[in-house]
Amino acid sequence: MKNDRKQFCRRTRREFLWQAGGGFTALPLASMLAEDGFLARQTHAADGKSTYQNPLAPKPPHFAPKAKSVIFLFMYGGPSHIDTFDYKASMYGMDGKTVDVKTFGRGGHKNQGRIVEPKWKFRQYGESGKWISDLFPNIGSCVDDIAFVHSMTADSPIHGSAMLMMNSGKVLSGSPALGSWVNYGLGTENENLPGFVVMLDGKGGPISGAKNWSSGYMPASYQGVVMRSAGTPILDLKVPEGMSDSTQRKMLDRLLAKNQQHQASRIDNSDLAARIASYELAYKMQQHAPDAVDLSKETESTKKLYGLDRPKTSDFARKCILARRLVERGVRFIQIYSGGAHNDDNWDAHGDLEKNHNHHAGSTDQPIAGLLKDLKQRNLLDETLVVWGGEFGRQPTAEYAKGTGRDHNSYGFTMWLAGGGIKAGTSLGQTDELGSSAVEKPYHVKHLHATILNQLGFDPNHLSYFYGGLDQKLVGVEHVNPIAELI
Amino acid sequence: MNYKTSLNTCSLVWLSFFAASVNATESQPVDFGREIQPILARRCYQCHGPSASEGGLQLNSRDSALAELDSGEFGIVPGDPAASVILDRIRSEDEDLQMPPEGKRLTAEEIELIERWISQDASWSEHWAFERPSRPEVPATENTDWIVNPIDAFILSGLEQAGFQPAPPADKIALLRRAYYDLTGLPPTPSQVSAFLADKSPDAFERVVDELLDSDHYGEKWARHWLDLVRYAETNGYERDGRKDLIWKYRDYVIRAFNEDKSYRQFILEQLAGDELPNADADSVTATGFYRLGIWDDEPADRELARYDYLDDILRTTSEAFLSMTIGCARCHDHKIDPVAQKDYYSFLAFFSDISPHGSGNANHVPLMDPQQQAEFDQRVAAKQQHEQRLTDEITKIETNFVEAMKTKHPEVALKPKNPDLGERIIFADSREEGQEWEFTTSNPGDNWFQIAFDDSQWKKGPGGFGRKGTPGSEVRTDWHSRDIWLRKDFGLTEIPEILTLQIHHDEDAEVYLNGKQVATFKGFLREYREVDITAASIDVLQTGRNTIAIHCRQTGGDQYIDAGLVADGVSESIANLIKKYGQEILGEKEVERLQQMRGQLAKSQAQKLEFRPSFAMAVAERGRHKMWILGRGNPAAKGDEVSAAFPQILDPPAADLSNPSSDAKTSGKRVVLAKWIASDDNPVTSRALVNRLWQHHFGRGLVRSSSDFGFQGDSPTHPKLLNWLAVEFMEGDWHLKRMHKLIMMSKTYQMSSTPNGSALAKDPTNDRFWRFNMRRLTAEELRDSILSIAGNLNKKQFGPSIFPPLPAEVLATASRPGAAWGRSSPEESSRRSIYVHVKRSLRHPMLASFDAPDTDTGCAVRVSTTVPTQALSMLNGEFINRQAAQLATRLREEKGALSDQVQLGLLLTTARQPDPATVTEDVEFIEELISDEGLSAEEALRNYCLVLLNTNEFAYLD
Repeated sequence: MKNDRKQFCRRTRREFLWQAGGGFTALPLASMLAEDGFLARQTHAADGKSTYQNPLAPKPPHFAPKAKSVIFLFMYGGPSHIDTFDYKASMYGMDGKTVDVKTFGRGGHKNQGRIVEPKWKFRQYGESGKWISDLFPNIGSCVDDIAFVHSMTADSPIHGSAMLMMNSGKVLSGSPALGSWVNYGLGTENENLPGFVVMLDGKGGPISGAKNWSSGYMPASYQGVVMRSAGTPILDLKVPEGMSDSTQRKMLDRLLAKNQQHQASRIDNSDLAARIASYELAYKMQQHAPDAVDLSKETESTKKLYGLDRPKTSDFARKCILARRLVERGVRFIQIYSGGAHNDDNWDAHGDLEKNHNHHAGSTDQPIAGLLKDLKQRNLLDETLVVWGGEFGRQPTAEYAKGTGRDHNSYGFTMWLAGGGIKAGTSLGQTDELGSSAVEKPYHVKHLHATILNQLGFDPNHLSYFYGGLDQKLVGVEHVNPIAELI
Repeated sequence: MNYKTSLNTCSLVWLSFFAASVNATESQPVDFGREIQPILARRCYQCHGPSASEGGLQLNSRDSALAELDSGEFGIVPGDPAASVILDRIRSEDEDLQMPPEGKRLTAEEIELIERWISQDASWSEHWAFERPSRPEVPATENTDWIVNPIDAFILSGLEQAGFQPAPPADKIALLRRAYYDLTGLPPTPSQVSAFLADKSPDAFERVVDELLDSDHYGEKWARHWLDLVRYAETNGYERDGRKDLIWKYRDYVIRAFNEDKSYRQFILEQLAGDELPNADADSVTATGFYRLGIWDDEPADRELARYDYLDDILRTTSEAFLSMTIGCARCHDHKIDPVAQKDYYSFLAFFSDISPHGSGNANHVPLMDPQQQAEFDQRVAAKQQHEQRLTDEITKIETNFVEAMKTKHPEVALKPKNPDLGERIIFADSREEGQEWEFTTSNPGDNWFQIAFDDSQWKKGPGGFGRKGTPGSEVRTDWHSRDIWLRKDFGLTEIPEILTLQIHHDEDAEVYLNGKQVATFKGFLREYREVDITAASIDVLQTGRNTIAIHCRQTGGDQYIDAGLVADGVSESIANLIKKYGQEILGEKEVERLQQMRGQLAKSQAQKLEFRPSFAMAVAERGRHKMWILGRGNPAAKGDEVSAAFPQILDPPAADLSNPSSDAKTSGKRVVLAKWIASDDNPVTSRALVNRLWQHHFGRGLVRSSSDFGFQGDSPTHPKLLNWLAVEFMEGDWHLKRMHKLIMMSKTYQMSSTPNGSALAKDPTNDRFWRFNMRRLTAEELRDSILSIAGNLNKKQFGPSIFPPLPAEVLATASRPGAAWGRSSPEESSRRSIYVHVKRSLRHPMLASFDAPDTDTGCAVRVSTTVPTQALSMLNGEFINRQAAQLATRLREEKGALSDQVQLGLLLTTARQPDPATVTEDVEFIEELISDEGLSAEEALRNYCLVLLNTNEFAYLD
């Protein structure tokens, strides 16, 4: 009879868990965020419920994480994979040859095109003997710490929707960014700093601006905070001109006294206490946050390592050093944009490919390599996941009758990861011989997202937020596994 | 197995008798709809619900729940908990057996409830939300003094059952602030406060409520609630985040609708089908802007899918805002939990299938005028065109003569000297020398034909120019004889030119678009090619990579021709300049003078914009008739059965009668059918959904907390009878809102204090029973508007295009076009109420966003209220708050002499209370200390004090 009863649902609980993909480790995951009342507390916080919780208070993930922080180096505009990390030896000598190849980019669907051979030489680096283009000699020296995924695919070859896809998992606008999910799931370790920081290119934000770090349908407190690498790092952090610290302190003391008096007969309302506390936290942020961007305490050799001393690399170097300093201070998710605004101000090389990529690679190669080396020497690389890539790659063929410009390509492109428990020195998946589309082990942006969440200690299929009648997830409703060969 | 079954059968009668006798004395009857169904839905339906019956168990109807399982057992045996296998499984400690298989276990209370329910015969009822509301009896209460109206009876009866005392009445000031903010979103002024305090009559508060309901600010406050629901925004989102020009008229429509106390029924009809109503007018057509509020990707990767996404967004917003149902969840498969089938989803979607596509610019503008006015306007346009054509002809004649004469008299002057430094680059040539290939069509291509991503693969291809042979100055290579022609051509740019020149020959009117933007318009006809500098109009849309030029040319009779080319960085000396140099010599003084005169007349006429008599609104339109299918997994490529428009079956609706197209037959008439059903007294959900929202915005939460989700996953009503009573009362009052507001606000329930009471707080910390009033923080808009108001800066001007209060440079820098990201408004305009602030999807107003104004990509029924330190930073250091604090200080100094009087006024303005003398003394001491210890001037010190006042919790929270 016992056996019969096990078949009550035609399957056992163990089978169910296995089928659900969670494996047996899913058992202790029972207390999911959406279920433990966390959300309820937030939505009812305004009702005067007795227990207030700072939405950004630190929270444990589902299981022991490999990575504590993520640095996402976003190469906005779409770097060409076959000119950077996806070596296509057979393409050399094919320049100008017309071939049959299916492409889909801004210029629409095409079945034929003129090959633009890779414009840089590749050479081998490290013990793994990985082929890297001359655009990235410094990153080349770090290859043994890097895992490349050459078979990435995305749903859109158009910047606006492709950016949303890479940042929020959906081509449709309105969903929270990856960093917001991390912020929601983990909170922030350092109450003096935001949990999700975004640093933009000096030329401007990416297409769709703040949508790329929006918290979508989640509360605004989970959205990315734009941080500047020099001057006042965060909006309104600087006290107004002419106000001394002691004046401000006196004002805050007076405010505190008034608020406490007001609170005395309303002691059950924890929102009032939270707001009182938020002013003290803001005061502390003013003291401590500028320290995070103060690079004067960095040694000369560190500055040199990142290329802070060279005009070409100094801007991105500053951001990379700052990213490391934020990681040291417990910030969970940091996104740095290389490229902003439109056209050749980012990696969108429709015109002169060589000029464009020489410029953008030239200003980021040394800072990125410096970041990897610096994290490693400080024993931070193991717990910091570094992700490099754009919203898509570029086509093997020319966009126009003349010139080297390449159109967008979401059928296949390369991203790489380093640190944070990622299997170093590996390369995964392949595009075809022209790099036009992923043919071996194709992975979708969702798999990348699942991998990132997994390294942070989350089951990507269980980190959910109830909205619009559904348990919403970063990876969508269907089950998505992390990329097993990377972890 | 047999043993157990037979045992249970034998003992059934006895057991149920036993259970009944025990429970009758020990426990209340279980309410299936409120207590059991939510547990089953949330914890079991995933595998045992409307779309799944694992093991043969399906818990969404009584029949299926009592049916025999695949194993031969029974999940639920009414009256027999011991034989009901589901109890074993939810109790089991065996990992292989326990249910649910993952997620949290059911709590002991939940299990006990289910057991009790089974032993009480497992009675079943329809889900509360899907049954038509009927007016329940008003309950009797022990304490009858507390009852002002039936609302109080429902609330008090619940309190008495729980042994709670209602909180005492709020003090006059707390009540006054509550009423002002609830109805207008603004604080009472000191004179309004003193008038109310002075009025000792029993109906003093009633008078205030009446006044506030009559105030113009009522609509501004309540429209905001509605705009949250329908995700009101003024841009499309995505890459270009283009503006929805004129959409602000919809916002004004909503404000006016509330102020006029338009019946909610009419409000529904107008938004969903204002164009299809028999008495359609400007107002009702404007209301259909409802359909154009959502996000729109002008360059989607998958065009057909994007069309369904657009319609899906409309369906979700409609079903959640009007019906409080999440029908959108059934797009890919039958709803796992709510009884909404995929067929219901696509049948609902079919109501919207003919809506014309979204477009940029004026693509979705609909004229708001009558036909006679239209004819008059057309006449005036024609007369103006004729006048300009006559002048153009004359000018061209003189210029042609001049050019001819120059060739002989001054052959040394090249008519088009090039700038050797820049050099001229032909981007694509016109077709004078050689025919250039264009995509073209002579039949109306519909909306968006000029967009970069428009699919022109169905168009013909042919060499330019297009026209009738013999047209002066033409080089016809493709014949065109019809009235209109549309041309498109893609071209690549590797860099953005400094100067962009259009070479064009048109006969007659032509419109030229670059990457979707109209960059030039030409009236009348030419006799030769001319060059036009279009740099200024084009610069913001040019991009490296693919660009698209699109031209529409239209002619009325006679010759016809169109051709164009584009030149980068070419600089040519204009004929006008040459005439300045050589005109006297070649044409003679008189002719030059005549030419200049005509040029002046032409310029004047062209500059004179004809008053745009027909006003337009961004509104709905339909194009064609489109079938609808059930799409497998939501995929447009997997079309299944065809469906026609129908209402969701769970609501037991009438059949949708689709036999009548709209009165002018421009539309299918489907939307008005939908609107009438939603706005009908027979609709089981609409009225409850609305009164619940009214309650929510007065009490801080709805009677159903999940106010846009009345389904199984939503919250159950805490006061189901009150909800029904209000719904019926609302319908019988002809769906008007203001009398409902008044009814609510006159109740004792609304007028309770928010003071805690120890024992009630311990037993009911979330105030489920409404034993007191809920405190709340001001909303983002209330906060900004109140600060402006207190500082004496609020500009109460209503309506019109949105405003652009200045934003910090750091915020503007986040846009991909930082310079073009935001507009500019004068300081006066910038001080208008927040509902008039431009809503740009990719660049949200930082203060409003930080205080939880919702994201506008999706609808928002319940705003969260977060407290984070970055809010404090902006309230201490931000430019806006410091400017307002300074203004407040100036106001205090202007209105009062002595410092203590200034302090007193500051406190009165921010809290509405006459402060006690001790507080004034302490605050005066604080200001004096700033002067003595910090070395501040009296002015600076007062300014800093004002900043403190604007940050106090007493200002930011309502009791």
